[in-house]
Amino acid sequence: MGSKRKRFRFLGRPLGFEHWTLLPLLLFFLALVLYPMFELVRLAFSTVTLSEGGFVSEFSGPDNFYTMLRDEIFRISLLNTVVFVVATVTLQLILGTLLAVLMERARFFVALARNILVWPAIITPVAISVIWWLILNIEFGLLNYVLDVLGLPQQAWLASTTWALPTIIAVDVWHWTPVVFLFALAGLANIDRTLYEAARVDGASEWRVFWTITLPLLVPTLAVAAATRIILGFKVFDEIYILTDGGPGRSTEMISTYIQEVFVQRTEFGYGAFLSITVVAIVIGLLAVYGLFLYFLRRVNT
Amino acid sequence: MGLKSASEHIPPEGISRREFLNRSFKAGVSVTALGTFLSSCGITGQQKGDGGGTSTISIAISDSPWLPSFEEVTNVYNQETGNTVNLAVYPFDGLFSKELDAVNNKTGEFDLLIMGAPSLETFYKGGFITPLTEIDPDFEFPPEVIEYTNLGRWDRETSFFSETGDPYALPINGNTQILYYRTDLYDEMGLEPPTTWDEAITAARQVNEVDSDVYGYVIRGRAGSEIVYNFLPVLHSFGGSVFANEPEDWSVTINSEEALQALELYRELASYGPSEPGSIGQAEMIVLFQSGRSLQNHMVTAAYSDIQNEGSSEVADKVGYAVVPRAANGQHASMIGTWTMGIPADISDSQKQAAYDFLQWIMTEDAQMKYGQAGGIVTRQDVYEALADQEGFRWMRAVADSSPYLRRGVHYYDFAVELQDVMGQRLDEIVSGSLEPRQGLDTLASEIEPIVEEATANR
Repeated sequence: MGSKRKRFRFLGRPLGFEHWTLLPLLLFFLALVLYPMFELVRLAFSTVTLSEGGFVSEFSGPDNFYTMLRDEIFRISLLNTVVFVVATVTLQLILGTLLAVLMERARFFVALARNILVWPAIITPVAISVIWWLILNIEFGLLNYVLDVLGLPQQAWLASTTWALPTIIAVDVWHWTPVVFLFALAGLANIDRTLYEAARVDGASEWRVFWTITLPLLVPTLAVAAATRIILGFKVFDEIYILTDGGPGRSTEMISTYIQEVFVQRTEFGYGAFLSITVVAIVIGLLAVYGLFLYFLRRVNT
Repeated sequence: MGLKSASEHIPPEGISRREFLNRSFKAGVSVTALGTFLSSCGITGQQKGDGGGTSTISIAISDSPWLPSFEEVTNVYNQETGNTVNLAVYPFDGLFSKELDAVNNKTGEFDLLIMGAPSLETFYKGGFITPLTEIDPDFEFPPEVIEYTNLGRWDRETSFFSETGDPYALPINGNTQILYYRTDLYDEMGLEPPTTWDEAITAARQVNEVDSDVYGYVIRGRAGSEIVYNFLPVLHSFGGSVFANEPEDWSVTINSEEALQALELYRELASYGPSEPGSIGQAEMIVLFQSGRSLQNHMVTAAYSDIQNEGSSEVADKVGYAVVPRAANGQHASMIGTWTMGIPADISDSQKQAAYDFLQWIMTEDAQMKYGQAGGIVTRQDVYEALADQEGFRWMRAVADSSPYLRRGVHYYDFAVELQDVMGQRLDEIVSGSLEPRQGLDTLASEIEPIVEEATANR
């Protein structure tokens, strides 16, 4: 009888093949996730200055935090971002769900309509932004030309401090509603049809069927869609950068464009890092609150 | 006794197939992962030069309108010398971060950096660029090369651009401002090209008598760096300035009487343009002129290629060029938007020499002639004079005549972002009428003071 092969142990447990296969993943995680995160946090509590030979970072404690508290532009950009996220996610959920419900009931050209509806989400954000810049341009944009032909007053759209943010919101809703539509369509496909039949037999109206059967059963799917859009909403950059670059004034300045300005244009790496981890903390906090809300909603429903 | 399964088959040599596969997989994946990890940590950089007397250099450059002409002239260099110039092309707004990352981390990725506003001070201050006299102690600026307000010279003591500073970089793109105007409309009105703002306004007032669909003057009024860059030549032409006399005196003078006069003139210019001047950026200015809806405006030299492009411009053969007008009792002013080329400090001596050789070559009259003929914005006065009267190069006459009036704007300072943010905001409010000029300038001055105080504390 041969001797048993000696096995490495970790925390008292023998390491098998299944453990060793995790090693490459662990290495990548350490190098490409943990280390950069550690550096980001370290920078966030440092002041980075330019001196002969390069940038030098020095631990500065909470200085960047106090700078953030005094930073009016940060407050404006954060407020703009929150308004942007709330407006776009709400509208996308409503329109995406509506489109999915209508698509589900459609009888003609269903496949064609489904394909066309998702096109905005397929096109790269930069191309979308350029297209809308051409449409919305005050001097030679298509939209103002149509308004002029119809005898209606032309609008400043992206050049107006009042209208720039709503215009950006409209562009984003147009761009990403198809994603929510796909989520909702998949969710609708999983709903048991017998529930609808039973409700209709009982004389329920279409609105009642939607409100008491469709929507509650869609909530888990829409929750995932909303969480995804919230995260991506906080990261919005391309549309802002091309359409308005945060202007006019700071009326469309988002936290992502402001961090880019601090990091790249001002080369304030320490402060930029602090703003970055602040945004991460805010998003995690929002998602946690959102998760709790859904948890209590489910408990109430059951 | 049951049959053994295939996975438990033990060959005569003593190792099971399963064990063999386990060990091979661990070795293969781990080595691959480790190799990938280590190589990603390694310093990037090409094996440059073949050791046979030729060299290979890499230049970081942005994807801008003058890229094709630069590519053409580097091809000429490659053919003439047998050396190789590789261009690392990045998006316009991404060039600075790529270059800064390379020099800060000493990757040696680039042998020449192309630097513009406002990154130039960062590169100089950080010690990222090699003084040219370190490579060649006998280096002197070629006399015909325009120095664009000493952009290539840096004084470490005063931490500022200076005539007596060390030479760090050479100008590679001589972008400045000139006046673009419609020759056909000016002829129809019986007017000469304007040399003063009053003459420009006279034409702006009259143009609708000959063409009602044309704006008399279009300003680049978008809030931020754009309106600042557009306003500065007007400011300086009235004798005004943002600061008293940098770097000796950083006192804020943006609210002087001269500045007020300049601003009122600027507001008048804006009144002859689109109703929302804040919507007009450089791209819009160019399109308005191309489409024949603008009588005149002052723009960067680089815009000429779009204006003269017969494929996209309706006025390609109707455009004239002139020096940016001045105040009646003032001087012309043309703000530079020049790009320079410098040699990083973190590359080997042999690469520095190869990069220096290229710099010397491209500053020669012959190279600049080829560069100019390819459509580039050259940086030698004699080349401008030589090409200025040739068809297709009439814009060069305006540039050549503007040389005595070049001004370095606030966009070259490393605190330009914060400065232009407040200046652009207030100028936009004043031009749009939501803020009175005097009040606006006083407010602006009070907002600039803490910015410049903090920025110049360690100068």
